[in-house]
Amino acid sequence: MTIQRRSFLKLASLAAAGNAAALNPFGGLSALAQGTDGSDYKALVCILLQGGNDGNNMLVPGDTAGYTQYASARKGLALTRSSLLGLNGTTLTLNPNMPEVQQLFQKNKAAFLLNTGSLIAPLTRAEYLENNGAAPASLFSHYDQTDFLQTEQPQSEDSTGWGGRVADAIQSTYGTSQLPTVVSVSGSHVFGTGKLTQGYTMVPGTAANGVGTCWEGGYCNERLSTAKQLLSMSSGATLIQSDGELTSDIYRYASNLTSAVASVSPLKTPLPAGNPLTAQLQQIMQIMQVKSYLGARRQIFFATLNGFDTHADQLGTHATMLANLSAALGAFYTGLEQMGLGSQVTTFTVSDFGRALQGNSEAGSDHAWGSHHIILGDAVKGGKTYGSYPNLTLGGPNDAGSNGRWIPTTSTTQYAATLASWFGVPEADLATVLPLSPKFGQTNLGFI
Amino acid sequence: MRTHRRTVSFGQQPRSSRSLLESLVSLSVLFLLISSTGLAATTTAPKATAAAAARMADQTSFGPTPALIQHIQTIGLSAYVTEQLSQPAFVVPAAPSPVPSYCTTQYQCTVLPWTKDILLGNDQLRQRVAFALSEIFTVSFNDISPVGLPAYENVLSADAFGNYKTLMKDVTLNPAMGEFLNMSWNFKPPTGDIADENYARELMQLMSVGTCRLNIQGICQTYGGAPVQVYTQDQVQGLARALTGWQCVTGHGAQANLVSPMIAIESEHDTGSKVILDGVTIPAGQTAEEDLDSALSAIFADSNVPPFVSKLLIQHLVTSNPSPEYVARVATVFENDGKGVRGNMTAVITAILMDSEARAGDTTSQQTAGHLREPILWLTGVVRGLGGVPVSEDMSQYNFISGPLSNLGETPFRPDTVFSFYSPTFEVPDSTVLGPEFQLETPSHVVASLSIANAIVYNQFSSYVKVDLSATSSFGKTAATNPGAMVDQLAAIFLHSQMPASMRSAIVSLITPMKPSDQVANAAYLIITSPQYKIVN
Repeated sequence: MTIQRRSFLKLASLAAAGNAAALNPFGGLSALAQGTDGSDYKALVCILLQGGNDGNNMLVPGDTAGYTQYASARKGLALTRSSLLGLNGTTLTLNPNMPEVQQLFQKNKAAFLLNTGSLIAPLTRAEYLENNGAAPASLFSHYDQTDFLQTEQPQSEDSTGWGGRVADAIQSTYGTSQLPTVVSVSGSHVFGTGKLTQGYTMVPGTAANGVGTCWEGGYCNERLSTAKQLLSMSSGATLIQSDGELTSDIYRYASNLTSAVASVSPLKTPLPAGNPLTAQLQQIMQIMQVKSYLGARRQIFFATLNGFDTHADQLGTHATMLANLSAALGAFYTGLEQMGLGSQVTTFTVSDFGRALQGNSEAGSDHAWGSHHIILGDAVKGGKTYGSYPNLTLGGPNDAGSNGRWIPTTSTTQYAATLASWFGVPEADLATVLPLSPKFGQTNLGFI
Repeated sequence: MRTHRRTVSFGQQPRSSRSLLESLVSLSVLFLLISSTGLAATTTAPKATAAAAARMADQTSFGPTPALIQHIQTIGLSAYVTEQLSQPAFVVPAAPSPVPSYCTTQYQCTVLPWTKDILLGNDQLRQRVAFALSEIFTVSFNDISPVGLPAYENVLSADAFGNYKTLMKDVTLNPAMGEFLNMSWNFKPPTGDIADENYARELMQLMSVGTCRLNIQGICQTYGGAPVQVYTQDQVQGLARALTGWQCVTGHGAQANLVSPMIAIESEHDTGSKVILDGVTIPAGQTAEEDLDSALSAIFADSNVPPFVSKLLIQHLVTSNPSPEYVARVATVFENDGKGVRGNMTAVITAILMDSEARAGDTTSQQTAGHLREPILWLTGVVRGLGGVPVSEDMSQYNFISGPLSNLGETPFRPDTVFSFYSPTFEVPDSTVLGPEFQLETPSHVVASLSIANAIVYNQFSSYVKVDLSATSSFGKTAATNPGAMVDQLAAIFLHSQMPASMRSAIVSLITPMKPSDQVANAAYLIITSPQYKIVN
């Protein structure tokens, strides 16, 4: 573990700054963000749409010929044309359950990246049909494709994720935080594991929990001190040693975070009640709120919205999922604006894969490949789509087979490289952070 | 090839016929026996060391207890495994209807009897294997009504010591699985649609062969640097068609019958020919059940099944990082139990537990052995080890288990997805070793475990379960005369009598100035929250 620690002296002065912010959560931080301490801050917020989001029903051709082709292939899964939401300046239309995203697009705050997915090199249908090995292994598998989008390495050879490698790359410049750069609020993922740095994982709402309760009094400090001593005892057993190191870090970071959140008043976030993303996004905002206290100038967050694996009865389920996503993104953006972080935080979606255009026997759709993604924030060159919308012909030039499983025309590596560049990864380090990026001519897709 | 030595089974107790009360009485009698005479004072020479017996208990149960360790020492490791393999399964009953106040929800009322059994029942190994199987053949009872939980769990425990092919078929036709992975209602697709691929894909990927071609040692084979794929997308689609035509006896979704096995509706079965795994052709014109049997036979015959399943079971029971040779030895037994039977789970489990690699730690600490205790095993291990007892027969006493386990990230039978609570390929961060359960070893969960540990040792964890570490408990009495002996008593249960000397002296020096009850509470807390206990090795 090589995360650097700041001196207690410096920490104390930052704590004072954090306390000042507490008097006026949004206004206070807003001022900080524009000041010398907060101005150099950027965060990436990755939202995994777990299960494989059906991009075909998120962005639908709006022109008559395109819609007709879509509807004839989708049959019962086709959305009603009149219900679709218009997107200025494009021929595409948006799923009717996403009005907040539509508005953000119209205000040039959101963009879409089209037919993007896992690739190890640019790939045509002919090349794929001739040699499946030219594509990533275990296509259409949740586990393998979710692993790929997190690692962006063909065989996950060193078990690091691109979030962790980005953190490695900026460590020497920005490694000043009392908390690791990558924070997952939805379970452990390889995404945040770097070669030099480790991610932090937390259950939303537990930031104030410290290192456990000790209500018996008397021996709490002594017991804690002995517990820490046990963690560092070398036993010669690899897993015991690993668990000891891991737990030592947890004691330290959990304490840091607890002190940090104790220094401010709780945020009054505008996030919608009952939305499955609310607790996670609230937790992310709470950590952003204490970024100065923590000394964090670059942060990467990982959240998850589960439930996109719509093999059956898709229409109703998918409508709910996208409505939740849209409402949460809209409120999150508003909250960040209030915190003065609109241009410093970029939120983006990823997903296991898209889903086949052709429906299945249970009014659902099956695992596919390329899909469409949302990028959101003031830094985004919004109101536009990037990449190419697939040709919806079954067995056509973009189809991996005959069911409408799109071969991506943009890779998730390019997607990640564009975000990493904005975040501050030097051009010279891109090939180290994203080893597949040299295979693709364009490493900056220009959406930010 | 069977690697274990058969021993004559004797001294087998009719444990299954005992009542809960009798078990508890015998447990407390043993506690008294141990506290007054010490473990070594058995009348006949033990057939296993205390360390070996405690390790075996950790690999085969929901946590060692003094009584269990004593029992294994008395009859020996091999006889104990044989005894466990003949234990009948506890049958999880349907929740009472209407749901009574003591358990409040359908889920609670169903999980409670299971919890009670894993804490106190005698079919420990069977339930451990069934629990492992629930993380391989995963159904999440978040998505599916817990009404289906008993039938599902009972299939896993009934088939845990049977044949793997029988298990595959019984799970395939289990209605909760059918609803969860959409095999139920996967009817012959209308023209222009395709068959639902969900169950077909996960049956192969998660429950039988995996995605990469394995050798007998369980090592992924590569060609030109890329993993050799076991099946193609076309073969997934072929299998999906072979599995069409099934539904629950009645209903679908919220109305589905989740108790009886699914039934075939022949008119909804796709009777065309299909090409599936390994290029096997299922001929046209078969019934739904004939297609299912053909498909399961083809999958079961694939050379990946023995190493794939063997390695998963080894990881759940013994070690996250088995040597390739260990996997191969067990996989060879999976291929042929010595009597020409493939997939004999009794032989496979025996081979796993009695293998020289599983037993090496009985005498010498192994550098890469062991696995992290997942939250359910940690909590049950702590409660069993500290002699936690119910204060009444009311089932609500076990309600304590699902709340804390939710804070630890492992609510029983309710993982987020079909991938269960953690991935078998998850690596310990900052290392190159596998540590599947480390995926749950996150800051929030570790912090939650500290609070739970604190509550348990001060008997404030639950008003229904008593954990007595007071001055008058057996631990307290030992501590009053010799704090070090009390620490050893805890170490015999939790650390296989293999506590490092440095750890012992750190704990003893902390607790020496305290009064006996605080001595026990603090020593117990430090042990159960230590990496030395959390890693079973």
